[in-house]
Amino acid sequence: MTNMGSDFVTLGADVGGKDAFIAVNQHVLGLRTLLRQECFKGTGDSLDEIALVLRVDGSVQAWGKTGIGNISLQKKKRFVTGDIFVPADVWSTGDAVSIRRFLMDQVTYAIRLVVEYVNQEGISLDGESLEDALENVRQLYLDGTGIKGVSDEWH
Amino acid sequence: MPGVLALANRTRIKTSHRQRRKAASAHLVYILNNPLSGVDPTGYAACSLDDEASCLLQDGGVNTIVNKAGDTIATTVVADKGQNLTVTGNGGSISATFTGRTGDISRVLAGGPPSDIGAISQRTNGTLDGTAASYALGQDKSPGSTFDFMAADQQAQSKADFEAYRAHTFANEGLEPFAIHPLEAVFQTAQGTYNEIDQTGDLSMESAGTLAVSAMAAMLHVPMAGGRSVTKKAPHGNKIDSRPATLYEKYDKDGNFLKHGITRHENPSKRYTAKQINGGTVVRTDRGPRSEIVKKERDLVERDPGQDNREPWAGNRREE
Repeated sequence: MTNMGSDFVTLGADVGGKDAFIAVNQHVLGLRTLLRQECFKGTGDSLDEIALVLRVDGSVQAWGKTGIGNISLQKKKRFVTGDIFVPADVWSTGDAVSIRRFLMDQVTYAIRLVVEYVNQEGISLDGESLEDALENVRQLYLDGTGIKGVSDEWH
Repeated sequence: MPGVLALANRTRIKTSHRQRRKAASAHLVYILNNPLSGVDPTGYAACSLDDEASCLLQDGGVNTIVNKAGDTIATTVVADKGQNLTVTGNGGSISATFTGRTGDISRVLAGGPPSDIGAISQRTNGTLDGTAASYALGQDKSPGSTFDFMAADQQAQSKADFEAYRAHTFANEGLEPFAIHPLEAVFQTAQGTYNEIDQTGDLSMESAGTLAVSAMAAMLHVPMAGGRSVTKKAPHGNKIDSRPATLYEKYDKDGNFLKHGITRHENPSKRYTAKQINGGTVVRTDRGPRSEIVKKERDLVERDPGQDNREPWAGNRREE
C-alpha cells in the first residue's frame, strides 16, 4: 500500500474548553500521528478521506453525549465524516491509560461503522486492510512506542 | 343566493380570475366564499371594520369581519353556552357544541383542513362546556391553540410552541422576530373575556368588541399599546452587540497554534464541520456577549497572535 500524500484517516478535535484541551491534547496528537502513519487509502477505494472529529466536552461547551454519531457521506467531495463524542468523565480523572483506551476504541468503532455505511451506499472501501492498520495503531498507541515526535511520557 | 361567481361567468366579464374572486368575496364572505357548496347554515353575518362592536352580537354564530376591500380579516364566533354550530368550508364541515375554544372551528374558517368533532372533544377531555366567544386569525399561520384560553397549562404550552415556531421561522429567514405585543394583546384580551364569562355566565358587548378589535389589530400588525410590529433585518454578523459569541483557539494537525478567533453561534451546540477543523483542533475557550468577547480576542491577538492572525494590530503588544 502506498501513501498517496494526503492523509486518509484524519482526526480533528472540537474541544469544549481549555481544561479538556490540556487533558486530551497530547493523546489526540499521538493518535493522529499514528493514524497518519498507518492508515492509507486502498487501491480500489473510492473515498479520499475519512474525517473523524472528536467532540470533547469541556467547561465552555459540552454536547452531553458519548459514542459515535453524525456519520455523513459527501459523495461529490469523496469523503465521509463522523463525530466521536467524548464526555468529561473520560478525561476528568486524568488517567492517561483510560483516555487512550477510550479514544482508540472509539476510533476503531467509528471506522468500522463508516466502512459498513459507505459499503451500503455502494462505495468500495477496503475494510480489512483498515482493520489491520488499526490493529497496528492500537499496539503502538497503547504501548506508547513508535510515535514519532510525540513524547511517550504519558505512562 | 345566486352566486356572484356564477353570474360573472355567465356574463363573461373581462376581468382576471383573481379580480372576479376578490369582487365575489366581498359579497360571499358570510358563506365562506364557497357559494357552490350552497350551504348557508346559520345565516352568518359579516361585520365590517366600520361597524359598531355590537354587530358581532346581533346575529350570533360565526361573524366574518371584513375590511373596506371586502377581504376577510378575522372571524368572531358568538354563541350561547351549549349552542350547536355547523361550519362549512374548505371542502368539509364540522358540527360542534360551541365551547368558546378557538382552534378547530377557526382553522377551518381560516383555510386549514377540516377538523372533526372528536378533536374538539379530545381537547376538552370529552367535556364540551363553557360559553362562547372565539375568533380566528384569518390567514395568520400561528397555531389556533395559541389563543386557547380554556386551560392554563395548554395555554402556556401553546404560547411556548408558538414562540419557538416563530423564532425558528424568523431565524431561517435571517430575520429577528418582531415584537409580539399585538398578538399578546389579543391573548390577554381573550383571557379577560373568558374570565368574564366564567364569572358572569355571559359576555358583554364591550368584551366581544375588544376581543375582535384586538384580533384585527394583530392581523393587520397595527401597533397597540406601544408594541412594535415591524419586521427588522438581522444585524450584520460583525456588529458588536450583546449577541452570544464564542472565543476559540485553532491548532493545525501537528498541534501548532494558528490563531485566536471569535465566532457567533446562536445555538451553542452547533458543531464546527470537519472541513472547518481540517484535521486540526479547535478549542472553545470562552463564551459571552459579543461585545466582551471581541475585547478579549483583541487583547489576545495583540499580545500572543498566531500565524493566521493577520489583523493590523496582531503582535502590537507582544513584548508586554
